[in-house]
Amino acid sequence: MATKFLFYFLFLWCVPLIVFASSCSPDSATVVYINGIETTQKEASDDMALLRKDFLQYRGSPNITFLNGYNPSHLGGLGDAIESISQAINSPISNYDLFTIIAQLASQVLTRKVLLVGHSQGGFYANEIYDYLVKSGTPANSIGVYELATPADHVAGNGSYLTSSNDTVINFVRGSQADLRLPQALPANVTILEQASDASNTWSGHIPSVYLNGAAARIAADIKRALGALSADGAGSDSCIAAPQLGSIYALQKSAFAVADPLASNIDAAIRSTATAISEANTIGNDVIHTAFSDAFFAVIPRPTAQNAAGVFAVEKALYGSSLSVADYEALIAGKEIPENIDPPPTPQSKTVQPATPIASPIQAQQQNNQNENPAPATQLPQSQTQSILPIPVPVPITVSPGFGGGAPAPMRTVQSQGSWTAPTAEDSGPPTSTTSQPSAATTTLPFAVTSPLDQSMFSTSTIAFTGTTTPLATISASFGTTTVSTRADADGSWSMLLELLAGTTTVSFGAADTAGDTTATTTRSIVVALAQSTTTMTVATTTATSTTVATNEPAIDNPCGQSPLATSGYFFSGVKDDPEYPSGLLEYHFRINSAYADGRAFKITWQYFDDQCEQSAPENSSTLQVQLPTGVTDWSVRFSSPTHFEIWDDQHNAIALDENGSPIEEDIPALSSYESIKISGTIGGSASTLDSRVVKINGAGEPPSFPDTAIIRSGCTSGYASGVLFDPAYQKSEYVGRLLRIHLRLRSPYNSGPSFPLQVVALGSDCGTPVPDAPTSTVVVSLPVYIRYYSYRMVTPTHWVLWDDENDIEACAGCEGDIPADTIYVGFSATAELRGDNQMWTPSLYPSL
Amino acid sequence: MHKLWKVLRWTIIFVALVYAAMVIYAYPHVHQERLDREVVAQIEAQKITPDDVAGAHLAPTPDPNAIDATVQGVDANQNGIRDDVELAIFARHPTSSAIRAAELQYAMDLQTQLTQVTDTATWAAAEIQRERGFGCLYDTSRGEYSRFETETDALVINTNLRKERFDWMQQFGTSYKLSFGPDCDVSSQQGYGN
Repeated sequence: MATKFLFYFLFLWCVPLIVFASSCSPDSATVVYINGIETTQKEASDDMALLRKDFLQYRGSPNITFLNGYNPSHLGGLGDAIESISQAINSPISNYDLFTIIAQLASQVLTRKVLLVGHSQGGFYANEIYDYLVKSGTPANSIGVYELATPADHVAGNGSYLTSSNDTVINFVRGSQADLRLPQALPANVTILEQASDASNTWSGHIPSVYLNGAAARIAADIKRALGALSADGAGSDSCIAAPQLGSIYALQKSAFAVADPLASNIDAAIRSTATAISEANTIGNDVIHTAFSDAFFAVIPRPTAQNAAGVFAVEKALYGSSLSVADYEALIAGKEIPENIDPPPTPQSKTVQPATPIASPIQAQQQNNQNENPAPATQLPQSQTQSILPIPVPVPITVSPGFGGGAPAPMRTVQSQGSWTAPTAEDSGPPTSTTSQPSAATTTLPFAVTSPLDQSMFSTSTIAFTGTTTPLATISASFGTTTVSTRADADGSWSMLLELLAGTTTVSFGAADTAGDTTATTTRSIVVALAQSTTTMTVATTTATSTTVATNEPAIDNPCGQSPLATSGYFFSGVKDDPEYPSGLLEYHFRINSAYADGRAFKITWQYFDDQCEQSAPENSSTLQVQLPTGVTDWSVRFSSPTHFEIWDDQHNAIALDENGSPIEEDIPALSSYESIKISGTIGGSASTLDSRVVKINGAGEPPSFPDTAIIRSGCTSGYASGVLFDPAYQKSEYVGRLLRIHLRLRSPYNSGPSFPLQVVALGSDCGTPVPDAPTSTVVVSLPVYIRYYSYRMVTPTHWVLWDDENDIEACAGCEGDIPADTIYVGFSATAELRGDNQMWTPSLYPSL
Repeated sequence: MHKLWKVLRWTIIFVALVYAAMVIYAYPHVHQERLDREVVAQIEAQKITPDDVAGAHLAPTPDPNAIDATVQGVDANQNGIRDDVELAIFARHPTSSAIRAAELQYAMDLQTQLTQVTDTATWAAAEIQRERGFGCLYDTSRGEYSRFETETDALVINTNLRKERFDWMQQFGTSYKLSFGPDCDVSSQQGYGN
């Protein structure tokens, strides 16, 4: 009796544990979305919802669980910035958010297979969570990682990613990483069209909705592929995700953030308000804030070690303009004296950069430059000052609260309004910089030279190539008359731009600015253009700091979507040529690269399709072609030899360009509707230079079908309308041909990938509301050919209807037809399709059937 | 054997007493969980109806002094949507039942967040409902969901008091799963009421 009692007691005590341990499903999967920096809960939730919408829309399994791993903001965004910088150098300073996310997931994830989807900084966390889980014993084949707009240099678990060449944030990050010689963000592998709202947004093209709206099919396909690669094999019987041990430091950090975050939000609001004012007065306002962030970063980053000295030093050097070398820095860390011999800085003209070569300090470079180029009023410092130059002054004091670091709180550093800083204790974990106050807050003058042409040069052409040197990745501006053009220096500091000048003498003023806000003195060139005939009226205008748009007077047929003409940025694609033509009826689109870089270097092109309403259409291109023109060749083109095939041509030799294996560079594309258009995009060096063509028709004469709209909906009968995204409510044309009704309708892009849907024929009597006695009650499942938008319901006899492909003027599919009773007076066709897990409805207009 | 049983018996009694003490100690938490379950069930059950979309029980214009005096505001017809918000949505979208339905649903979900979230469990339930409302806006207004979301946000979270409440509520934010099934409470398939 006693033994039995004991047995039952212990059994009942343990049952809940047994049940809990077996609740991890090997069959389904979970997608965990991790947001980027400075994202509210609400925004992160919306982005996750959009992600699932995309997934379901493109036939993703509705059984996949979508879960958010919220990555909160700290210290008004400052904490995010600091954490991001430290993650970029693979030395995250805090695991607080990482553990918070994992701890929440541990109680929510109930499937073995987990796909981590990170956006922006969320990509860093996705990588870190993957590493954590694998180290915790989770089989690597059960976890996947997919990243959007990732600043990381890799995707954990060999996962895939999607980064747009129009993502200005990642382009900026990549450029900065290159400048700092840190591992660079993965290169762009898609071009997502800029949104109308991007024009006013400095950091456009980065927010999740741009990706989720602009590349929905690609993202859905990537996620489906990643989920398909996951396996639950090898998993144990324990919980799906091992919860981290949250110790007392975590609890302390939690308490600190609970107090500091709301406080920092208020301070952040004040900073933003001030920054806005600065920005209005000075276009480098953002850089001031970034510098403030960076300075705060060094208040909390752990003391550099010999292992990471080079990386940390690179950050410090670029941010603070230190004239120390890596060797000096390492010596300081080791407690040694700074070596006497300092390598001379490379001249800006040098195009060869060795990884170990120290970056020229602005001062040194300027000193050298002053010997070669126009003297500039540089802010000179004593030669003996070899320690760090202090940062640009920050308009308001910023204090970094302790608690963000993974270990003991770092000492607080205060950035003062005059640009000096003080270290309150000798144990400051910041870099070994001078504590001397910088008396002047003036910006440093950059090295800058216009190497060609010389002043007062004379040309017989109006297109003049200007070249020069400056600090790597600086933005160069050229102004003449009312026109301002800008471009960006490459990683070597070289730059070039083509300007279209009017006949006569034109004085062009050049200047440059780097990301730290340092600027150059103005350099001018007076150029004489003496044309044999009348002058050209072409003008050059600029749209953004790094994007050049050439305004031309091309006929509208080449630009059916009314979008901007060719847009280029950076050094490579700046050879301006934007020439689409249709010699054989199909598109030949001619471009030109900058002749200074016609040295056989490879670039990539991608493309996107658009329908007759300029909506991005299916299929979404996921291919990339690598193009390498022969040395000396600047002119190239994309030429369609058939509606489903194009080639890349070397226009100067009038031959198809060949790849490294000697094979023609060509591509087959799907059979699209004749009215489809295409946009060509090019990139090189990640996105150091980009090209975006206008949207032009593939078939110059291609037009959508056109029909009259003459049938009249009788009074009292409903007028058709649509809900959802598949059926287009804006298009309905009806007519009678031989007294037989035809109702022409249209699908929306990019949802027209051959949808199938049940069709219900509505056959009504004389009052347009009562079905005829023998009206059909069952549905007919019909389908439309892939990529077809225009279709119709056609009465081919008074009692027989057929679904018709209006674009090819054929029956849409086998069996897509039916009958209506002979006594039908009014008829309509009601359709319901399943898309994204929701119904897509077409509620019909009712017309007299005869 | 008898001695062993005696030891075991006292051990079991001791464990049982400890267990009972733990139960008493945990009772407030368990009680709170039960209350949470009730509120969560209430949040999950809250849906707009075709009549709401059709304006069948539209409330009269509320007292201007009362509409922003509290976070709850005035909801005379007790459909979960503040009367001032409901009337504003009808005024802005008099002809589009679909957009009106989506905005009303989203507005109700936001109001639920403002008034019923007290902890992590209720936050998650309310956030799931808000995401359904957002999804409905997305499905209904292709490409313009952001505009309609912003429009409704501004109507519902329109005072400092409500902004503070909305921010305060975010402290309970946690991971949650999106719900399965359609996002719209009322769709064209069901009809938008009379």
